[in-house]
Amino acid sequence: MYTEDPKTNSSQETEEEQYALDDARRVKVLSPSMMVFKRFVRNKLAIVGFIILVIMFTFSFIGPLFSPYSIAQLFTHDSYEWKTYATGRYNTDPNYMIAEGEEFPAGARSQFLLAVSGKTGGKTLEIGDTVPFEYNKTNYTVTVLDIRGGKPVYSIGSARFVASALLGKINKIDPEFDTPEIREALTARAADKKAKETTLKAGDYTFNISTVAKETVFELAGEESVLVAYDTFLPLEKEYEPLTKSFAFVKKVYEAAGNNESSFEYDGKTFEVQETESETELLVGGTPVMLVSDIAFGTYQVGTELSSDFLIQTSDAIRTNTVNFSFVNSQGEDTNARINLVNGNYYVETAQKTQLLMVTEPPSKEHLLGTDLYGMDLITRLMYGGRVSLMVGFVVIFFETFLGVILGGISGYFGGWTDTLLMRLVDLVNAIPFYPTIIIIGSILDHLKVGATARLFLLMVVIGILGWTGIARVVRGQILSLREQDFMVATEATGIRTSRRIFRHLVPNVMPLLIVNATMGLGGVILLEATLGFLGLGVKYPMASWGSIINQATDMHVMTTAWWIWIPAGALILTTVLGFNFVGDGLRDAFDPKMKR
Amino acid sequence: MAEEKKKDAAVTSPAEETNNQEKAAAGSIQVNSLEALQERIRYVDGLPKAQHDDQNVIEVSHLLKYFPIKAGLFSRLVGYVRAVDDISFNIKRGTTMGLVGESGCGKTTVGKTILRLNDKTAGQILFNGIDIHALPHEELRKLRPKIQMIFQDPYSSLSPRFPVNEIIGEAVKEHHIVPASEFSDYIDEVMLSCGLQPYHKDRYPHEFSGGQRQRICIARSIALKPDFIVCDEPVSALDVSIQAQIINLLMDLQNELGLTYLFISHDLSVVEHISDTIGVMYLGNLVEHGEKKKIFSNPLHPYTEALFSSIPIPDPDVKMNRVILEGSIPSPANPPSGCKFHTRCSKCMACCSEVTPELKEIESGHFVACHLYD
Repeated sequence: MYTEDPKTNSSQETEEEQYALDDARRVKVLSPSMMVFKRFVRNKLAIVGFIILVIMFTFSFIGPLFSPYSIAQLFTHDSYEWKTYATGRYNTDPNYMIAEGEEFPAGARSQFLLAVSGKTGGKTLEIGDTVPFEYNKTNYTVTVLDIRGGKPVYSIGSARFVASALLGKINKIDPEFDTPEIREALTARAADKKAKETTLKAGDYTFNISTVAKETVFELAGEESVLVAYDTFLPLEKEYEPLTKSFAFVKKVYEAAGNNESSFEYDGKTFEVQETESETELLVGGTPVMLVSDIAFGTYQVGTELSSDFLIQTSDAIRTNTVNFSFVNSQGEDTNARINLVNGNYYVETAQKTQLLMVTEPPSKEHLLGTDLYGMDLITRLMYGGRVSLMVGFVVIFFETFLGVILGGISGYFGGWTDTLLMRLVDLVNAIPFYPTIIIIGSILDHLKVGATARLFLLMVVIGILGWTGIARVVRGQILSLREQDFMVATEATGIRTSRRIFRHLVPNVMPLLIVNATMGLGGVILLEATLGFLGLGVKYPMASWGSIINQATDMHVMTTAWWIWIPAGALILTTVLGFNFVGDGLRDAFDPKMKR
Repeated sequence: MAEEKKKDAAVTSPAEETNNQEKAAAGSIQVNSLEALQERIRYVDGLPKAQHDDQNVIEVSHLLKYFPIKAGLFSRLVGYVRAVDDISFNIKRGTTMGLVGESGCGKTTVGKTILRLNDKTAGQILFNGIDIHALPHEELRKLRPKIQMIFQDPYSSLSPRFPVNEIIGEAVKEHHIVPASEFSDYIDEVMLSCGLQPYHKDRYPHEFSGGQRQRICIARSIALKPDFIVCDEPVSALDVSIQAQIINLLMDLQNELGLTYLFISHDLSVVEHISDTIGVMYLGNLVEHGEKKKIFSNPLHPYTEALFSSIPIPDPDVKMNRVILEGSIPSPANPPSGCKFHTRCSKCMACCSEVTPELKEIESGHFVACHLYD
């Protein structure tokens, strides 16, 4: 009798040689799982599917390790573009410069404009002319300080009420001026009906006299507190910038210009004045420090600092109607510029360096499958997307199978009320419309601004919860039939423990069915995930999935011109699902004991 | 259903209720109504049980197994299938009792209820004096190896995913029948004694023929060193030559190990070969019970006569005097009143349809339940 330990290989081999040809011991023993494996291996299509899956897994899980790029890396290239750098414009509205602490309300401005335009009656004003106007019971006097480029510079001073006299008698007087000497002089002037002078000297003051409805009004000429000009003061040197806002300085500049002085002093410095037809340059020690010009400049981009050279060159270019010119910018770089005139605005454009996204770049050495709509490397996205797609498939199927086995197993093993209850639950879950639910949940997640990873996991849970019913039914049916099999009764009769009966006898017999179901289901889940991704309900940036990559092809431009965006992703989905289906078919055939191949 | 209810109501009207109870008390139930059946369950359960006798391995007294029939939305109980309807018998140590009867007469239910694979409805089953149906589950599990079963279908009774040594050895390990060091030798020994070669150990059930599979089933049972084995038609799925091998194997093992069998079969020649005593069942009742020789030489019950007349005689010259039974076995859910066999009995009398006959000892060790012998 054969009593040798079959584990020792050498002795077994020698024993086998001694067996007769018809000895039953020659028959090789195969365990059921080994037979399944053998039958699977013999199935060519299943092997093709298996190889496809191995390739897909390698591509998705090992591929990214070799990719030089990261999942959401954006690719850009440098480019020079004409971009608006600054704008210039001839001043057509007057600039009001108001001395500190003084006021010049909007009503006064309009009165002033009326006075200088209307009341002069077509007569052009000359330097030194004065025009009075009244606003809010205050008398103002406008003096022309200078004429620059045909446009006058006005200085406005307000008058201070001193006294008024009616019928040769003073009826109102400012107490400050109420001295006998002044009173006497004023009374004399008021009584003298023939007097034509508009000024009167009394004491240390010179009073302006005006007659309003038989009332003689004496006023003291006030300080000039407002300057009106069509110019802007452009500092060429930074340290002189505060001066441009100083009323006293500006007034000094205009007085000097009006008097054709070649220099003036301010704050201990001597400023030389070089006047051209429309602009004035101020120099200190031969260096130009300020430009008084009727062209106003504005920056167009945040952080642009206009250099003095820019101001000078651009002013020249605008005045000479030159289109192309160059200037040295505040960083000391030579910059080419061109001027674009739109609606009286001069747009100064410079060629600026810009980073452009490499969008829908066709396949190249750097990007084997080109770049996508957002400038990300497609093959890298496909690798990471494969991870998501495959992981979603596996996690969802695992989750579905877990739920299905637990609930279907309980249903089948215990039967009765539990079974009825669980099967009605299955019916209920089956009645939930899948896509509307997913779409609603998707928009809720959008609203709650759930992160990409959390969203992915929630999505998997939802798909799993909606999808376990099929597996539960299959498991229930299988367990119901197994439970009644004699070999299960035999385990009871031989007194095997319940846990062992379930896990050693029932579960292994349900396993083949589960494996086949899960494998076939995997393809379905991957397709589902791709569909959701395509509808924009799947994973979100920066994550990628094959479905969400194809989603870019909803753009007609991408669809027709950038084949490398959607064809590889589509091909990956197709082959993977095909692979799972082949393997699933192969496993089903292999597990089927009636298949004797 | 409503009609039935009305009928029930009519039957159990107060005037008749006492009458019904009297009838039930007399053991002559006439009515298959739910209430009457429940009354019968209570009545049978209350009958005095047999006392334990040490020479008996199995003592079945007043065993009743009714399967509930449920219907309607809320699975309301509407009736019972009377699979086993008050039967009593004992099996002496080291003997074989053959249980014969048509398909569906409740033989297998008796076997399974003895093993407590079904719960009893009423009655008592003693195994070596232990009330099997009163044991807590854990103790029952420990007792299981002592009472084994061999199934009818050797194909479905072996788990397809285990090799032979695991099928045989699983419960041996579970119950620590032998020390772990002797396990392998023990399995070899058991397999050899059942006509299997030890090199079959690593093979799977699908690689065996039906006869070999049945040997595996037998090996699985005897590996647990049982006292008592229920053989539930162990040879009916096998061809005749293999049947003989299996029967002889069972008999050899009985001689060797002193086993006690309950041999359930509808094949009378096989039962004649193996049994010491025979019980004949019809529709849940034991109609005849006694020593093999007495029954075979002198079948008393008309049903037994009809059964025995169907045994083929391997002699072409003998004119067979067959008793052909008319019709088929009635439904155990609604069996005929009185003697359940009266609808098919050739010797039916007026009283047969009204009074249930009781099992009476006609000659020593030969019991029959028939009005012919009143």
